[in-house]
Amino acid sequence: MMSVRTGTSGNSKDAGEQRLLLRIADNDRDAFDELFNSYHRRLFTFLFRLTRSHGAAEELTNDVLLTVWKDAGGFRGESKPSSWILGIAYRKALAHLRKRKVHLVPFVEQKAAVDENGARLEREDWVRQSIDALPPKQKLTVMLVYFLGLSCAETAKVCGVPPSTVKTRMFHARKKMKDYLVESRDPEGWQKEFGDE
Amino acid sequence: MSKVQPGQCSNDARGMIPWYVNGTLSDAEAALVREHIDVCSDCQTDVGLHTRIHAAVIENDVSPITPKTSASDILSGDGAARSRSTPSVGNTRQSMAVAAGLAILGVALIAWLIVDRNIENTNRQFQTATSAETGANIDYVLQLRFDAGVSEQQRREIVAQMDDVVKWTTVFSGDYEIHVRLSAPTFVALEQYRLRAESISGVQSAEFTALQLPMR
Repeated sequence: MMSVRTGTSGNSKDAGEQRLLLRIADNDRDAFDELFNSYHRRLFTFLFRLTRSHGAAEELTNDVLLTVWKDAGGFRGESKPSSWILGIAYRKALAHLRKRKVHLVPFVEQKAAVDENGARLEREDWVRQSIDALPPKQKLTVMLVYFLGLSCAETAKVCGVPPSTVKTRMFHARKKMKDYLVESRDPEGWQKEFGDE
Repeated sequence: MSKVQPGQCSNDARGMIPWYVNGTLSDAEAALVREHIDVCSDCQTDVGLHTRIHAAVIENDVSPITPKTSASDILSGDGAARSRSTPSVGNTRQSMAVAAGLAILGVALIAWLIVDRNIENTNRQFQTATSAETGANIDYVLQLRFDAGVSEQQRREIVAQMDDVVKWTTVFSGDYEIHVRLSAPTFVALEQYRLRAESISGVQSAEFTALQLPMR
């Protein structure tokens, strides 16, 4: 399975990406090509999982990379290049999530899976649906932590907030997801595992 | 360390559980969390929930087919805009020039589509092999594009015609992306489903753009 982790990137990678951004700031298209190759798929997959829309993810990815091209001169080196690029993606995704229209089919109306993996499949669906139901900032924070594997400090830099705010968002996201799972969807199964505190 | 009563946990370790689960805590921080979890049932429950969330996000979610955008597409504006509008035509000479250009483009497009369809078929065959191996249900994302003039109401009615397998739909720029669940899909079943969508009046095209991988 694909795993995207930026939290463990080394100093040499950061230094290389900083040099790339400097070259991009000087309108070096080869440097942009290089950055594109290392970020396009990662950004697209991240944004697809956030938006659940191929079209939206494609447009947002291109928009993020175009902003990197235009604003590379504004990168001051105060954070990792990856944090700076993800910060751009975060702000654009947040704006998109706030205005998007999504039609979710209520789970209870869906046909039950009949194979032996069905119960587990549906349970994982509920987890995903509970993530989709989160407010945009909490959803983005959950995805930065769990999909991109960022540390608390890195997540805070990307979101432009203190680490304590990131922890609070994760706490509220966990509470909302638990409420969604326990009370609304599968009282028996989730109650057993993650019942009342 | 004494046991923490349920509902009484106020330890700082609780706020660090998401990063304990994603493995980005330092060794010392992770040891602190581990020590606390041993005596706190609330945090044990939290670790279980966060582990499940982490697994659902990272291991088994939708795996989209990456678009064929290039860096130069983005810099030329093609990638960013992806405009679907047709060019406006002024006088007759311009019209003829545009028509000739479009004809050439049309031939090129048909040739590209033939090649592209073969690539897509290869992708689908690969995906089908994956599902055949597991025998599990797989969710696919079918992107529907509509003819010009099809109203929002008509679009919803078209999507409703496919609702026997639809899980949810996403709307973006007037296109609908239908997330469908097919039991043990085969290439033939996928193609039949796509053709069924394309045969509905008002649908310009239907293409699979992603799949959701089965549980381990």
